[in-house]
Amino acid sequence: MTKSRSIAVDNFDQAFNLPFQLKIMNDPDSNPPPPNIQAELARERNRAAAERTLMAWIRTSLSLIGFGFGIDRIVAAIHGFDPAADINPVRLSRILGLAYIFLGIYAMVFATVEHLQQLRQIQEQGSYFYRPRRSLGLTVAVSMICIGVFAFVGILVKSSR
Amino acid sequence: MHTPSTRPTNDTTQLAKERNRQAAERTLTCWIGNSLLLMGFGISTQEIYSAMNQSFPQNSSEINSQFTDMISLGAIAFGIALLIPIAITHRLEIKSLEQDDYLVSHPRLFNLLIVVGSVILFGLVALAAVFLVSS
Repeated sequence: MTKSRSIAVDNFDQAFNLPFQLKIMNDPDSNPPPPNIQAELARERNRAAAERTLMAWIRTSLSLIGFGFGIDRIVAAIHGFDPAADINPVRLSRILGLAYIFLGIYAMVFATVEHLQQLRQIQEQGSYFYRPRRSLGLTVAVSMICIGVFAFVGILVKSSR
Repeated sequence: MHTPSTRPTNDTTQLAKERNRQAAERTLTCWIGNSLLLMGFGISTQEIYSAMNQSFPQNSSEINSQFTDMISLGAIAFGIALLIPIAITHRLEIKSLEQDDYLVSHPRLFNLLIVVGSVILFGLVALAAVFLVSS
């Protein structure tokens, strides 16, 4: 606030003996800009979109973890029918199962972090700017391709023996 | 490092860009789910069958081991093949949001035809395989 503006405000207050609240209201620097209704509604839509994205990631992570856990346990249970059999602890189903479980946990953690960052950005006062960033979905997709190729090669080698 | 756009913009447009990005992300998670289903089917078929053969070697198997390997490897390959173009499309969509002159591009019908055609083909192969085994 400039000196001349501050003097004008002080003179106004002294002339009319305004209480503290009105003084704050009449101080142009303390008044927040009037809300843009369209932008506010858009922010609410973004909040809902962020929630839907998090729910999609919860479903995906649950599928990844569930599949990883299930394939290892089912194969272990089948092997358990033959107590004399020498079960390899580092078998393909275990490695794949653990890989999928790890991927599911990774996706869930980073989806949560991203969701919190989104909420913080939406709630910030001031202008909103789209923030380009690395896509978590792309990371998970590439990881799944790598795990899939490993599984393909593993099964091919196993069946050729 | 992304340089901020010099084109005039407003909060509503920027918020809309973010919503578009989240919609693209949700689409990709749906495809990840489909691919996981396919790969999971392939992996579990082979692993469970192989575990059954090891635990119960005295049982004669109706299904040829080679045939099971074909099905499982085919499913895994299809799952991988489905994910690659989807991941590329997703990346292109995300990149297009960062451009100043954002325009909706519509190559999606072609992509959709390829994906739907592949699923139908996979179903026909599975149907043929079922009839082959039962005969």
